[in-house]
Amino acid sequence: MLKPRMFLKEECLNIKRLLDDTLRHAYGSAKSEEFYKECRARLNSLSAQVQVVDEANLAEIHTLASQINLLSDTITKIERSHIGELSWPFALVIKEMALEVCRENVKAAHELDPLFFFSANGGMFVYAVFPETKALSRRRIFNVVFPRSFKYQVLLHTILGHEIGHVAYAYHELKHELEAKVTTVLLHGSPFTSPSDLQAWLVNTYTQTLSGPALADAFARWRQEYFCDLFGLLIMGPSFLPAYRSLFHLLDHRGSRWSATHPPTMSRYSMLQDALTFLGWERWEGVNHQNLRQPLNSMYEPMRRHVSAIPPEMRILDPNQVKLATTALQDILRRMGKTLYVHPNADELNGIVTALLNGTPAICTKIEARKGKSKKRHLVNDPIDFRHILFAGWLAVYHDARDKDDLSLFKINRLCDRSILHQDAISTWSEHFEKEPVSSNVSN
Amino acid sequence: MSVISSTRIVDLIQQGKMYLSPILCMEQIGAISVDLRLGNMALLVRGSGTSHVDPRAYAKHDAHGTSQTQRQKFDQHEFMFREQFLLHPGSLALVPTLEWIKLPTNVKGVVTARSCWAREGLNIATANFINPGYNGIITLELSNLGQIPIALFAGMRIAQIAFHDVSPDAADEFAASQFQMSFEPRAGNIVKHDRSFIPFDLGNRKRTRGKHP
Repeated sequence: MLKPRMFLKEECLNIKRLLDDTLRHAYGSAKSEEFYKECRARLNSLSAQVQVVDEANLAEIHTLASQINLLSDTITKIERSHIGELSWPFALVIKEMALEVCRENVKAAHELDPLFFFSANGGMFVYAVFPETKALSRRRIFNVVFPRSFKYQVLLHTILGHEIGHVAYAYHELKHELEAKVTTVLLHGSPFTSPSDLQAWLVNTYTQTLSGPALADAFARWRQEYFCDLFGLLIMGPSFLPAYRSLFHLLDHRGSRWSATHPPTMSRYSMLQDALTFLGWERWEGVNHQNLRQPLNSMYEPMRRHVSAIPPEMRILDPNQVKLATTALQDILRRMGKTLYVHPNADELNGIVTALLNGTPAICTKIEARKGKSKKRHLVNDPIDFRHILFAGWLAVYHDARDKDDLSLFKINRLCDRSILHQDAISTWSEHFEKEPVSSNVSN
Repeated sequence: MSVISSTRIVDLIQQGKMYLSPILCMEQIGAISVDLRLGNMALLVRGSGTSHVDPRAYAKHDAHGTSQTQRQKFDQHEFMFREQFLLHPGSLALVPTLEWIKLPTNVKGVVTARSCWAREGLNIATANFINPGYNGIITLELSNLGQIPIALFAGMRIAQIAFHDVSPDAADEFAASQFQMSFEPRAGNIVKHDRSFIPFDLGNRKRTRGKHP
């Protein structure tokens, strides 16, 4: 039998070989170098601890074994994250957004930015972000999971807005602020102000109870779920809702099911509807564009009907509190780069929907005449926020004029994905644009 | 059938009659053509995948066989902007253009290499007509005719498209192609409508007249 310490020593060497072996593949949405360095640093630290741990200290050895096991698991998952299994233009924008939320608040911040890797799993409901709550060496590593079969279903990917909410909650400094300014406000006056209130509500509504530890756990988790829903809506915008409804309605069409980890969907719909009404996105007063009004109504009307049928005991959160929490969260998100969703200009959105309905991507280079005497023309590639593309995508899905044979849901998704890629090309071009030196050798 | 000048190309785009986007700089538009950029994917023929190109493999009856033949023929690589992709001498790669294009039914496109790249050995193969009414990315068949590998980056201008008037408009039944609304390159069907000439069952060498497998 291998003694535990000897086993771990050997395993550290195995992991070193494994880590080197991963370099055979191009993995990660960014270069493999950063992952390699971070994992190597973790391995070096663990190896050093294994060298000095007392053979008789089995508790410490067990802790080290868990950490080595976790590192091995992380390396294997990273190795398997191929960009060919997911929509990488979408992965890049999600990564940018999540980075804004959880960037370390220290000097030389970019060197300590968390690392994100994306992996695809089977199943329809596997959207997840697994954040490390603290850095095990220098940088935290986050795993973003997409359903493999949804490679190009970018319209559904907006559900990741909810998961980024969990990322924010995993970031200790931010969590306290979010708890105090948003979650507590959101749930004020609801059954979720204490575990005993939650227990009473469960008894009254479902005639069910949870035991001590399970109750405490559910209390914490449910609160976070409501927060993450609101967070998802505010960072992803209107396209969060149809994705949310599509997935959750399939899981639980009545919306009354609850678990120790998630509150009943009905109560979450009700909260989101209140937030939507407050934000004014649903009515969008004064907008009568041909390609906006009808699909807006078609998209939101079923949700309004659904929410209006929700019984009073499931309308748990006070609309006024939802309003206050929404405002507070908007203020926090404004600090985080472009994380907060801003509604587009109606003309712009109408143009995007029209492009998609014509079977072309949303990015449409305009060629305009210069102002003044010069007759030269110039190009205009107005930047388009990916969330506006997705909003337009959902409106195209709900548009009466969509020829469902020619412009399938899959094609709209792919056109939106292509649009995000085009925007990335435009941004890359603008960011690195340099005037080229004049050359005498000109050829076409 | 006349070649369309840059002035008319710009007019067609401005009037929304032709879609070609994104165009990143005015230098992309030449006197009678528009430069096309390399997209973010490459299908590279996998040496170990198949022994030879066999038309019969395109017409196997079971879904597994046909699909496997086409999928295993190529390795698919996706690469982001500013990431390198190497094209080795003698290898063939199917790549998409970055640009999406939608042609009116009275205009056809002709894709050719850019001479500066051709001088480095990069060849854009010959299937270069784009049908009137086509809507999608354009697949380029790249091969390296030189002796040394060529590093390519997504977003580089590697090809060009010229446009010709078609008169009268192409009828819908002819305008549609098997690659209409393509989002990425894929293998074509080389036996489509030619199955009569392919002896599918070479195993027992029997010929069944009038019967298509």
